[in-house]
Amino acid sequence: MEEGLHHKLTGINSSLPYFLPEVILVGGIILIVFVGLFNIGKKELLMRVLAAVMLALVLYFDIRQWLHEDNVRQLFLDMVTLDRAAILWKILFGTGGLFTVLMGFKYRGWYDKSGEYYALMLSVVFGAHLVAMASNLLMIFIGIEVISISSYILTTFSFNKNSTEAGLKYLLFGAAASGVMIFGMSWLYAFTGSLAFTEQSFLEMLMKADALPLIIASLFVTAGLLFKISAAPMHIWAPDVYTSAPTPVVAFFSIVPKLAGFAILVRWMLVIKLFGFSPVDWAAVLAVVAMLTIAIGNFSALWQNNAKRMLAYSSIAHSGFLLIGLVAFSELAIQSLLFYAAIYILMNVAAFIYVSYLEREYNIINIKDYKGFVRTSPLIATVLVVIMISLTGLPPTAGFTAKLLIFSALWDGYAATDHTMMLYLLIFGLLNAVVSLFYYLKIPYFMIFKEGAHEGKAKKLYTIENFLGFFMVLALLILFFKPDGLMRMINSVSFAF
Amino acid sequence: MLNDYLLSTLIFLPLTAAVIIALLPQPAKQFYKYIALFVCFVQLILAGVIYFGFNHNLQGVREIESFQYTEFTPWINFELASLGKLSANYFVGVDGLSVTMVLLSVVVLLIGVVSSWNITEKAKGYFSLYLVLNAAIIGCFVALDFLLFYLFFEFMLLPMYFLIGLWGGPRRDYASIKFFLYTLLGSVLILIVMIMLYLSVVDPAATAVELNLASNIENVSPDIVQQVQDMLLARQVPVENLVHTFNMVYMTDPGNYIPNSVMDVQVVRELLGQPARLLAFLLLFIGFAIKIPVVPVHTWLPDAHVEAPTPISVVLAGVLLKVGAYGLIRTGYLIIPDGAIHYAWWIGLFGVISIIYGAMCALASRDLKKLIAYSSVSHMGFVLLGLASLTSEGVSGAIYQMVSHGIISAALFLIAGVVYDRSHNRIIENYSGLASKMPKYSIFVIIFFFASMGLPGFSGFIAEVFVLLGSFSSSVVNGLIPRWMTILAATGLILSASYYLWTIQRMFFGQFFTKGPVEANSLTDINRREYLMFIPLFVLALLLGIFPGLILDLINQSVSLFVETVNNHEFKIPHNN
Repeated sequence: MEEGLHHKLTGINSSLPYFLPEVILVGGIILIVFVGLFNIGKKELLMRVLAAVMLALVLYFDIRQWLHEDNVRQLFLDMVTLDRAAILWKILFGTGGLFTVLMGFKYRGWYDKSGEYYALMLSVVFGAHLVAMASNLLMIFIGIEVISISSYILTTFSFNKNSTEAGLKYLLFGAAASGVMIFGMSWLYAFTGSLAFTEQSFLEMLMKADALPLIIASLFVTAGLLFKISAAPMHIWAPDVYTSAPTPVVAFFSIVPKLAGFAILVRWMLVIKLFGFSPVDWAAVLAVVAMLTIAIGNFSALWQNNAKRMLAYSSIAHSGFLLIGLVAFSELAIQSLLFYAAIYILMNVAAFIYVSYLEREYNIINIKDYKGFVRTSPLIATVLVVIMISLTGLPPTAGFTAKLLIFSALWDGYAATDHTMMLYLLIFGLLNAVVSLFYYLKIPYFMIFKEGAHEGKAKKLYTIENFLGFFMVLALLILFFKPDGLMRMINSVSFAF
Repeated sequence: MLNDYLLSTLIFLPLTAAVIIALLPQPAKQFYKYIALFVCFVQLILAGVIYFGFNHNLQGVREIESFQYTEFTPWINFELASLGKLSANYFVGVDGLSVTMVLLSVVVLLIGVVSSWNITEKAKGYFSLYLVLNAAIIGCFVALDFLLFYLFFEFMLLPMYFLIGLWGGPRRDYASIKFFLYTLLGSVLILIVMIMLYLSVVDPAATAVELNLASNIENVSPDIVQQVQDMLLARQVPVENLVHTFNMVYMTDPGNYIPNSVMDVQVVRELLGQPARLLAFLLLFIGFAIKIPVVPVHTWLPDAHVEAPTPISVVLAGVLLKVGAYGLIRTGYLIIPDGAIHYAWWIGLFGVISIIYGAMCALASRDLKKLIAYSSVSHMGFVLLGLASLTSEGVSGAIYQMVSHGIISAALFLIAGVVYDRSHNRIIENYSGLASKMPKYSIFVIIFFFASMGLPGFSGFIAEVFVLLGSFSSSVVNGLIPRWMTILAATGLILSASYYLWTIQRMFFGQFFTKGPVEANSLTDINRREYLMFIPLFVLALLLGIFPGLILDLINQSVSLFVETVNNHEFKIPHNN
């Protein structure tokens, strides 16, 4: 008994060094909450800088792990697994978090609540870090809940009736989804007697389980995860939340929690596919979900007048494109998914940066308000055109490379398995790229083709948002002409297939 | 030295100039057009160097070593997980099939700048976009790597969209987005085939290097290539050593296809109930048919032309349509010849339909520019018919028609532009007896109308005769095109004579008067700048009509190899031994 306890304690103790980014995150959350208690001058600035520094540190240590960690490590009594795939995801989350803090530097919407805001944001990044490494069903649940509960509160940070309503709706739907997920997990526990879902014995027990209960349980868990990535038909929370939450929060929601969902879905699919012995045809199920998601995202975006809402719907469509990686589900597919995710962070954050920048500086909210903007600032207009082209997936931007890769993976999956659903998804997805052009082009169309009231002087150009935005657009162009480096980085991640 | 980077200079010179124009301050406004003119003029000189340095005996087509002015630089290289490696290269070069297109583009683009001389509104945007378009067009014609080709192909869309949408006529919004959506739809279909192809084809030279059969790509001999292909067939190449390539020349060799891959001929893979290769050809055909355009996917063209400003119409009809036909030749016909043969009858049929339907629409058009736009549809139908016949005469005729139509249609759109510049109205019935009011203009109109309807002595005649000869002999040579198609196509000539003559009669002969919004005083005869555009085009149309050797000498060797390659293609299912 004492021996076991000692063993556990040393296990935890020896795990801690590998948990540095997470420890910093927790420390940062506590620090920000603590500093937020005091009434000091320039508190808001302090908070922002503190959050940015913390996230930069997290990113630094994530990257250090990437450079120095080649082994797969089971940590904290096998609750989490630190492998290169997890580290790569963590780098993406850290980057997404840092970008969001930087883009929100000028945002004034949350008045005196910036302490709470940044603490919650770091919590989401923390939850995402946990989820990326989870190798135990309970760990998944804890990570997802950390993300979700913080997200419910962040939704209400516009402090008006709409955002409170959206927050409450999100909470209700989210709680239901979590309930369904944990219910499914409890069944799986009943089949296997274990929660360590990456272990061999878990798989073996699952293979022995009856088909029908297994189908129900695995669909329940998957549905809970699909809820997080706003995949149809579990997307109904998204429009409300995306409309009423503050713009930086929406940008944040469209990357970190969503990609966290993908991180765990990849790991989860590896298990639940049971090496092809699953009674569920996952490729078909996910292909239908992907098609629905793309269609709903795209066709809802078509009718939007509000730029932010249009981007929000389009990010649902991008969930569908990312899902293609899970449909094809080969090593190439997962690598393409990671590539797409990295590019998606760049282009989506860049788009949101300019939407919120223009909203603040020029009071441009609806797509029609972009009228004639090219004459105010040709530079920003050009940058926005590149971003929109990248979101559509046209060359010469990395958005094209991402789509090329993910569709190549899908094609390869089809060629290998002859699964007709994949072919339908391929055709459907590519045709939807044409549909998406129609709404992405609206912003350049109004900016450039329409005469507008924006003949006024350009506002200050040297803001942190513009630097960030230019950097991202530059990255989007460079990653089209030279994707080799990023791809080589992703190539070095191995997946057990 | 110059020859080593000739094609890159052709591509990157306008791009650089576009950036310079974009960065120049507003007061430098009046210099934009001079920069553009200078760039296009330098391109003309470089094209002259290409023309005179071009070796007529090197065939290109499917022989990678006989392309000329080639440049090769590795571009994208990374691992494709369990599939091996991906390799895309900056690989450009010309052969007989593409050199004429490069020459044509350079000429038409230069004329386009002259025609843009009076554009002062948003001149900075206009000339930089024009130069970007210029670079993309040249890039399309010289790219030998599918990804590179696709990049340039897509890259034409955005400048074109803005050029039509910003400087166009009253319904430019509708026309520009229609153009963009149609063409993007086409390129998505091409993208599918590109994915299918690069996942199926390997680069034998790079694979040899991967297999340590050679130390670097320069040291790969034909023997080693053969060895790699044999190993590939015997499935002895480990997957991680396969180098997937976008190289369009390698794609023409059945030996480079991975056994059992989707595009491989050995196993007939079925997609949606169609053999994969045939479906791929169909997708390429539809994709490029939108660009050519072929009836019934031509409907973007009249709108785009009517709304586009004159110089953009000139470039659109003169060069952009040829990109579609050239793309079909370079990818569809050469990479999937089995599909080309299988669908030859249908391609010929759509060619004939385009000829007749386009001519009928032209006959019914009230707008002069629309009439010319439909006549483009009709004349591009000949290109399709010539290609479908797969005879030397037919294919030479098709390429000749592309050049000839490039020159003549450019002139025709300039003609429509002259009237529109003066009166801002192009409705045919609003004019009468222009011959007495604008005699010099009328002479050019009549010359180019006759050239376009195929009067002997002009380039159009040679082209159409070759196409008709080729398609007529096809039923004997390879049995692809039935005779009635040729006969029907020939009636298209009568139709084209009728709409041109009828237009001449209505607009230029008889008593001079104008109707509607047209002010008689505004109709002045052509000025010096317009002479400058019409005369070179006239000289070219005449020269090519009298000395067909100017073009034929360039293309003959390549065309005969092309015809032989496609007719006797090796993409056949081998018999069981």
